[in-house]
Amino acid sequence: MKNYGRVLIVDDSSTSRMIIQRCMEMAGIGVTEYLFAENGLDAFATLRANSGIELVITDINMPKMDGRTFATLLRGDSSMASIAVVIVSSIADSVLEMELRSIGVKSVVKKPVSPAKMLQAIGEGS
Amino acid sequence: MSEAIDPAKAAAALMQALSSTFAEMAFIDVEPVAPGRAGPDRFSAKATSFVRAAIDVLRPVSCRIEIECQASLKERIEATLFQERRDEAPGEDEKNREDSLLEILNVISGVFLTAYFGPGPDIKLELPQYLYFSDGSEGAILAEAAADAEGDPIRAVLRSIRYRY
Repeated sequence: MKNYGRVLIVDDSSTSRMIIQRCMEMAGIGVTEYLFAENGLDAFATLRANSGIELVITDINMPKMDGRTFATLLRGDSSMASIAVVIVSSIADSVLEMELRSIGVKSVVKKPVSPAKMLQAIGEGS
Repeated sequence: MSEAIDPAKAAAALMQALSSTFAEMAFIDVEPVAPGRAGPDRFSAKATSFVRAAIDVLRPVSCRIEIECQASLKERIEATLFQERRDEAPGEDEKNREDSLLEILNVISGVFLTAYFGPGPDIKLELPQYLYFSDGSEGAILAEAAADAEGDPIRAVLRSIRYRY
């Protein structure tokens, strides 16, 4: 299992951000530092202001900029191509999942998240 | 689209969503009760500590999913979820208390839609929100699930959406 430097968790819910971090910790996934953003726009600002972010975990349903748009723009930016992207979502939409995987999203996790789900998602392809 | 909803199937899916989401997210056991035993007074607008939150579903059908409970349950959820974090971020309690129930509703909605329609349909949800008053214009109840959350009553309701133009 790869250890990650900085991990950015993007979700408009403080509850969800906390649960994702807790599940990562319980799964034993090594992370140097967690950063947080409340939507896709905030996440881009955080990415530009901070170096060393290796993994982005983002929700789909958010205000201002949703996770689908954020992931698409992020994957289209060659300067951020090395950053792995994992989606967490309350909905199980197989069409959206195929679309996201086709643009380079690492994996899609259905809420409620758990340590096992995060371990499987982060571990895929590592 | 209310004619497309099977009330019995929807009620079973609501109960499954309530039960599994509360167990996995808040570690609270939720057991079904007959609708009459859970109310109506315990969920009436007369209850001073009554809390009601809703999320609108835009696809695959237009409907609204609501959860109704007492404030004591909302506080219990926040206390369970954020117990370990209170020392790290004192003063965040109220914000987290408000957010916790909305996030649980968000997840309940996803679990319900998957249980009812199966995985795969194009799903679009609005953001969850609290409902602070009733103006009497809510859509009809299509299905409901009343339950007991370790002593606190809780109810999930599926309504049609009444649009105004």
